[in-house]
Amino acid sequence: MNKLEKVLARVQKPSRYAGGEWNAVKKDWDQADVKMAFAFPDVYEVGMSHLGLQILYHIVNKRKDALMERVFAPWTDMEEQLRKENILLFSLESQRPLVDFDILGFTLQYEMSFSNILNMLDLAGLPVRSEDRNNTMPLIIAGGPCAFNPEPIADFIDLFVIGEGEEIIQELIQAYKELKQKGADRREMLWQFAKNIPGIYVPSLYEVQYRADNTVASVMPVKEGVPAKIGKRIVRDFDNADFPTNPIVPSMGVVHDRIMVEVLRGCTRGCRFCQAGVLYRPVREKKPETLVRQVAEMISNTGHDEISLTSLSTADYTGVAPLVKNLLDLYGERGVNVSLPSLRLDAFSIDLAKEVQKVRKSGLTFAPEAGTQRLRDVINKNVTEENLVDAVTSAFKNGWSSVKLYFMIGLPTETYEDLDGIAAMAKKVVQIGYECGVPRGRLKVTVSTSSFVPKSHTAFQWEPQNTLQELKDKQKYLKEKLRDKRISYNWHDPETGFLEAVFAKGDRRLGKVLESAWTKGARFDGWSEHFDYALWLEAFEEEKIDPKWYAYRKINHEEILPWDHIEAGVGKKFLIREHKKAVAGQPTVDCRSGQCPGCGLCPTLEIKPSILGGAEIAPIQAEV
Amino acid sequence: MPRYRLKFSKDGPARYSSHLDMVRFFDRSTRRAGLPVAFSEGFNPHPKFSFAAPLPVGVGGLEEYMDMDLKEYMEPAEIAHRLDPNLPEGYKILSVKQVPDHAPALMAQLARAAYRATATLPTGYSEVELNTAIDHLMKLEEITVIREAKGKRKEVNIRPGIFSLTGGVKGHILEVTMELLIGSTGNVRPEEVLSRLSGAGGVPLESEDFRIRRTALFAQGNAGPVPLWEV
Repeated sequence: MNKLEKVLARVQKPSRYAGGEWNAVKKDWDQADVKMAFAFPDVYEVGMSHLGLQILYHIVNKRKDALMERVFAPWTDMEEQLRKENILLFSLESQRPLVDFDILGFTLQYEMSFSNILNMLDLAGLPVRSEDRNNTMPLIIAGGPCAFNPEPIADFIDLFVIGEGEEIIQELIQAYKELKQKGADRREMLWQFAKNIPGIYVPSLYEVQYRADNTVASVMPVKEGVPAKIGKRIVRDFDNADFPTNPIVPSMGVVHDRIMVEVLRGCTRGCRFCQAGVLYRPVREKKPETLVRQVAEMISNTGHDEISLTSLSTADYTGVAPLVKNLLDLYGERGVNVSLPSLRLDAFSIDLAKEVQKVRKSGLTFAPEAGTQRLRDVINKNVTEENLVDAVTSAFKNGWSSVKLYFMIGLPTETYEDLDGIAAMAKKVVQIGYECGVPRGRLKVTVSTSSFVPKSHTAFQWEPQNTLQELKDKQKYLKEKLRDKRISYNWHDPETGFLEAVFAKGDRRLGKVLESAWTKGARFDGWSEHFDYALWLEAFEEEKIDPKWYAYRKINHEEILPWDHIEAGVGKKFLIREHKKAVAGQPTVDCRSGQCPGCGLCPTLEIKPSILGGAEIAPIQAEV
Repeated sequence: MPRYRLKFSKDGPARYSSHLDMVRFFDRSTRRAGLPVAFSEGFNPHPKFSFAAPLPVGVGGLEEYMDMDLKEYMEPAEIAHRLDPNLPEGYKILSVKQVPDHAPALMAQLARAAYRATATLPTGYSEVELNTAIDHLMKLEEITVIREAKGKRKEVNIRPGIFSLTGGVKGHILEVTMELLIGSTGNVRPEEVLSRLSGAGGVPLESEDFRIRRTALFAQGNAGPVPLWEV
């Protein structure tokens, strides 16, 4: 028995590390010019639920000259064993140490996984800091939503990919191969990538200057030919974009254990707190025939018994009702279910939910986000109380008996009246339940609140976050207000959200805090059983950095933001206008309505939304 | 509904998946293979599979068994032919036959399991020493192990459940084979025997150093154990 087998005998859930799944690709190592590893900084069960991994894995492995393998953050028991037995972190497919690869690519899905990135680099036997790594070591690259503010981890990552990965990964592999053949060293390669491939950000090629008041003075390229601003990449022809119909079928129960077919990308709704709504613009829908074909292939290639129609807002897909019906007609008989990850707050969505949940009536979740119309106008969540009443009435009449309502607390301009609104809404839903004849014992309304985290590239990027005390007071207030045996109230400890805000809006100086926290033992910060707030505070104190300055400061519109050089295509002027409209409580139109709100993305990126059924939007010219 | 008995092996990376995960693998594999598997009725239908005995995580199985009900008749060879290429790495279908529709459950017939455990010796250790340790263990009238279930500790005498125990040393490789009690009347786990050999028994290894495979399953026949396949 080798060392690895011995270690696997000692850890929980060893199949997290064993590989060998259906549709996993094990290529001939020596035949590939470029060897990549996709590194997910969380456990297998989380990482294997991520569609982006499946897409990039498929694209790279389709190439004759490249291979991609996978690695996930080892759970703490496995980390202990790896360190004890001196085993370097390895990939699942060939069980090779990560140092044998050319490129190691991390996905940045949420800020609280940053400490795991450092830990994985260390477990791989690599120096965590970019400047300490040499030509014999793999290039460390990263992409995903948090790459839009890459500064807090700029010290550790050699190169960031901004925006959608499908096309840029091909260009990167091609360029890497050519430069490697020419014998280019690490520095030369990074420089060439930054110069020649749009959407690539090499942080070591930029110098950040600060003002005396700690704000950013400038972020400037220090080498010739490197762009001052990095724009995001987007897939123009989404319908024809490479999509894996033979995804890896996980070897153990994972968070999303089903077929995930992406029906559209982007969201037109324009909620002002939502970063994804900005990063994934413009909205692009796949044709229904493309989807039906992809589903058919995926069912026979995976054997899954559930199809999830995924996107940021699937109920907005133009042909969603006929698509769902079509899929149920085709596969319902065979015991294959269809599911929708999110529902809109209207009766139409209930009809859809009715279709997809013909047998089991599990709970329905709605997200009004805020308790009063005033605050919903502030955040541009364009749903009314009437929508909610219609939706829950329809749900109760159609056999549902439990409803979950999701809100955010600590939103800009929020007052205790808005909290009263949350309680009133919950009580109203209970009332509607009774009126619709839901049996007393079965009726259940769950209210769930999360704390608002301001994010970069949104209209609220200038807004301060509520303090921990403010949030705790609000939670306590709601707990009192929602004292009712038919209502249950869930909330999260706000400390995680505070650190999330610090890193979401942080700058390069946070790198040393992250490193210090990791050294002290920070791991899996997104997991409440591992999150250690005191340890983080200690790290901030030792590095003499005040986290409150990042999360609680109201920022002026004129200030240079640490992420201003990373462009999501939506103009800063538009975001400022949105911010002002938010404070004034004015809503902004949905670009699906045919009117253009003027975010500037289409003219900047020379693209148009592609919405089926011909909704044509004439984009307003970008304001410079 | 026609019932089929499948003999298969589960080793390599597949040995790290739990029994529950394996049930899910067979569900997906049969769907990929297009087999008309029968499902239970009710709100949450599940495929009509039944297995002889779960394998502990990490232990390979060279001759494992399952029963499967189909909605319609299919040639046993066709089932094997379709299913085998649709199984994940580490699984192999060895044989398929039809059994009576209401054939008694595999689990109810199971009586004995054979295991082979191998390990690399870190230091010199002779076959004579190993056999002395085994003889000593087998001469005991009681071998007590402590098992924990639902937070309660219980003492169990496993000696009556050890039917045979033999060993050999070839170079640095130590091998132990054993036949142990399994099924409705009780279980003896191979690790329990191995840890007794390595602890008080003096074998210079720990039970986790062993690579364990279940090599065969038996039913209790009139004249002693018979391979489960022949029942």
